Amino acid sequence: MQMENKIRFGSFEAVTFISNLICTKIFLYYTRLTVEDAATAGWISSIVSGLAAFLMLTVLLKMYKKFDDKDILDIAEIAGGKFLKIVTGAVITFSLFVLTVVVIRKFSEDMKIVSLPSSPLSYVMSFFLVGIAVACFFGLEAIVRFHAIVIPFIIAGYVFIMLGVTPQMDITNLMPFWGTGIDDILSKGFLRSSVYCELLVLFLLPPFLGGYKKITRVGYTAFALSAISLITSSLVYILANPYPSGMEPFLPIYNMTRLIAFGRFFQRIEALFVFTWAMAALLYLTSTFYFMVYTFAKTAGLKYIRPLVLPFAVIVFSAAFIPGSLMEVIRIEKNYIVTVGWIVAFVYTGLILAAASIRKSVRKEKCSK
Amino acid sequence: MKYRKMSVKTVTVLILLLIAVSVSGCYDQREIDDLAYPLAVGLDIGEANILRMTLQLAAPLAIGGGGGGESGGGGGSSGTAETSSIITVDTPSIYSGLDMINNIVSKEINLSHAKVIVISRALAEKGIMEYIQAIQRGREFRPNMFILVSEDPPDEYLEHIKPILESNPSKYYELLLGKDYASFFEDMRMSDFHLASETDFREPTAILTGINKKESVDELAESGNKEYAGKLEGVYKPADIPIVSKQKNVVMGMAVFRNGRMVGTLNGVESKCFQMVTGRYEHSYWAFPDAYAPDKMVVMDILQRNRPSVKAVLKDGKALIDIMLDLEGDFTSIQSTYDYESYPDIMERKASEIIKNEITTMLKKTTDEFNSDICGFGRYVKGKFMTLEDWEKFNWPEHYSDTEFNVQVKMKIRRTGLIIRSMGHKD
Repeated sequence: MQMENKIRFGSFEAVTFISNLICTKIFLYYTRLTVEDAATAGWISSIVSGLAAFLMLTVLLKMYKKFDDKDILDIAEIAGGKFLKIVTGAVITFSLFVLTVVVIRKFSEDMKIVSLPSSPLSYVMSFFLVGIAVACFFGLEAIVRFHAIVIPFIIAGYVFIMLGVTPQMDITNLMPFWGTGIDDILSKGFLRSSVYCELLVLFLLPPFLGGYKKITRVGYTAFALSAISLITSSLVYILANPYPSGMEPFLPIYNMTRLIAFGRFFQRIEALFVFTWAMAALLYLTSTFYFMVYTFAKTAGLKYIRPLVLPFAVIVFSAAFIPGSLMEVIRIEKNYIVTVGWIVAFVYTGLILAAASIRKSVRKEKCSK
Repeated sequence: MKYRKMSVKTVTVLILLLIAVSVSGCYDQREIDDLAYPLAVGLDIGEANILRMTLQLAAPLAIGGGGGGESGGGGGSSGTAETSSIITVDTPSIYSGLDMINNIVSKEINLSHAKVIVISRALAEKGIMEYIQAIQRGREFRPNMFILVSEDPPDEYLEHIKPILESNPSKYYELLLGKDYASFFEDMRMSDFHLASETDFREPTAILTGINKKESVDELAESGNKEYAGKLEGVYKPADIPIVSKQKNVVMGMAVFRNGRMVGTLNGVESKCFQMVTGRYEHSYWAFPDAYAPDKMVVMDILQRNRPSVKAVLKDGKALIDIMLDLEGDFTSIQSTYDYESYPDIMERKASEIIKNEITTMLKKTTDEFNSDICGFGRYVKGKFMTLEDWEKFNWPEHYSDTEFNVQVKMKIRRTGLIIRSMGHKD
C-alpha cells in the first residue's frame, strides 16, 4: 500500500478517531489516577487538566493557521529542513511506539486478569497484535471508518455504565471539597493535561482532512467530547467510590461495572464492559500503531507502509515484554506518559509551529524585498 | 484490483480459521460440567490450621431436577436428592483451602456463583479484614455476595440450610436476604462492607444469623419468653425467635464492626431503626401499644416516605447530628377497636414517640457501647472540612463517641385498610 495521502475522510470519522485515542484511558486507569492526584477533588483536577489542554490546543491551532493542510512533519521541514523533519518524525514515532507498547502490555495483562487467567500473556497479546496488523493492512480509511461505526456503541456502553452505578452514588463522597488541596489540584491537574497527548495525532491528520477550518472543527469537537467524557468519568467514579477505596482497583471502571445490579436477573454487566473496553483499546492500539508506522515511513521517505507493518508488530510485541510486571507498566504510565506527555504533544509541537512560522515570515520578507 | 480482492479474502479466511481454532480450545476454555460451584462460603477459626473454610457446593442436577427424584447429587435421607453438599477444610487461607478441596472434589472449584459468605462470630470478633481483602482481590467472587455473621459455626450453619420452598439454594439466598420487605436485618453486600471498612466516615455491618433448633411447639415456652415478654417482635436473638420450622436457619439483626472486628450486635428492631436512619428502610409492620389500652396493640405498616434529612454541626470538636425522619403508616390492626381512624393523630404521636425512642437508643448504643459509626454520619461531618488533611487530622472515629443526636420523627397515618371506622365489639 502506498502512502495514503490521497485518502480523505469526514469530520465525524476524525472526531471519533481522536476522541477514542484520548478516552480509552477512562477504561484503563484515568479515574483512579484523578483520585490518586487529588482524592475527593479528583474531578476538579480533571477540569483543570481539560482547561490546560484547551488553552494549549487553542494556541497550537492559532499557530497552525498559516499551514493549511500540511502535517507536522511537513511543518517541521519548513522550520528546519530535512534534519528537523527527521527529528520530529523520530520524536512522534517514538512517542506513539511507547504508547502502543505500554497500552498493549497493560491491556493484555488486564484481559488476562479479568477474563483469561490461564492463558499465557504472549497468547493474549498476539491476538491483539494480529488485529492491529490486519487493520493496518486494510489501511487508514478502513480504520477511521470502523471508528465511526464502533464508537457510538462504545459511547452507549459507557453511558450505560455511568448510569448503572447511579444507586451507588453519594454526593458526600465529594467531601472534603478541595481534596488533597488546591496546590495538588492545580499542579497535578496541569501535568495530567498529558492525558490529551494523543491530540498530537491531530497534526498528522491535515493531509487526510483538508483545510484549516476542518482541522479546527475536528480538534475542538474531539477535545470537547473527550473532556466531557474524562471529567464525567472522574466525577461518577468519585461519587460511586468513597475515598480512599477509589485508589484500590487497578481497572476502576471494570470494578464499578461489577457493582451494577438491578434485581435478581440484571447482573454481571461486566460482560458488556469487556466488550466495550476491548473494542476501545483495540481501536486505540490500531490507531497509534498505524500512525507510528505512517510517521516512520513518511520521515524515512518510504513509499509503501505495508512492508513495515510486520516488522513493527514484532518490535512492539518484543518491547511489550520489557517491563517486568504489571506494576512496572503502571509506574511507567503514571510517572512518564501522563506526566510528561504534554511536553511532546503541546510544547514540542508548539515549538515546531513557532519555528516554522518565523521561518515562513522571514522567507516572505526576503521574497518581498 | 484482483490482487487486492484475493488478499482480503485470504486474510479474512485466515483470521476466521485462527479464531475458530484458538478460541474453541484456548487455555481458558472450561466445560461448565467440569466446574463445581460453591453457593456459600463459611469462614471460622480453624483448629488444624488458621482458618476453617466450609463450602456449600451446588449439585446442579438435583437443583435442575427440582431437588427430588433420581436426579442424583448425593441422595438425601428423606429419599430426595440433596441440592447441595457441604465440605469443610482447615487451611492457612481461603485460596489454599480451595486448592486443598480440589484434591477431593473431582471438579474445579469456581466461586463465580457464590451468593453468601458466612463468618462465625468467633472469627468476626477476632478480625476478618485479611479475608475480606482476599475476597475483594479475587476475580471470581461477586461483589454483591451477602455477608453474614453466624452465631453458630458456619459448617454447622450451612448443614442446616435446607430450603423448603426452593429447590435452588442460590435462589433461596437471594430471596431470603435480598428482599425489601423484611427489615429485621439489612441487605448487606460484600462490596458495601468492603467500602465501609476502608473509609474513615463509616463502619461496616453484617447480617446476623443463627440456627433455631426448636423442634416442637413445646419448646416455645422455654425460648426465653421471660426475657422477651411484652416486647416488640424484633428484639429476639436469631436462635431465640419463637418459631418452629423445618427451616432451621434464621436471620435477625446485625453484627456491628469497628476496625475490622465485630464489636456487638443490633437486634431486629434496632436494625429497623438503623435502616430508617440510613434511608435503606422500605416498609414493615410495627406493633405499638394502644394509646388508651396499653395491653392491646395497634399494628401499622410503616414505610419511609422520603430519605432521612441529616444535618451535622461541629461545636467545640463535637458533632451534633439532627435527624429528621418522614414516615407514613397504614393501620393494619386496632385490637382495642377504638376509633383511631377518626383521630389518627393520637396514634401518630404515640408511634412517632416510640420510634424516636428506639432510634435514639440504637444511636446511643453505637456511640457508647460500640463506638462505631455504622450509620455513616461521618460523611456529613467531613463536609465541614475543606481539605482531606484537615479531615484526617480531626480523626472522626475518635470523636464519634462524643456525638450528640437530635432525632425527630414525622409520622402521618394515611390509610386504614378495608375498615374505615372501628365499630367496637361486644366484649
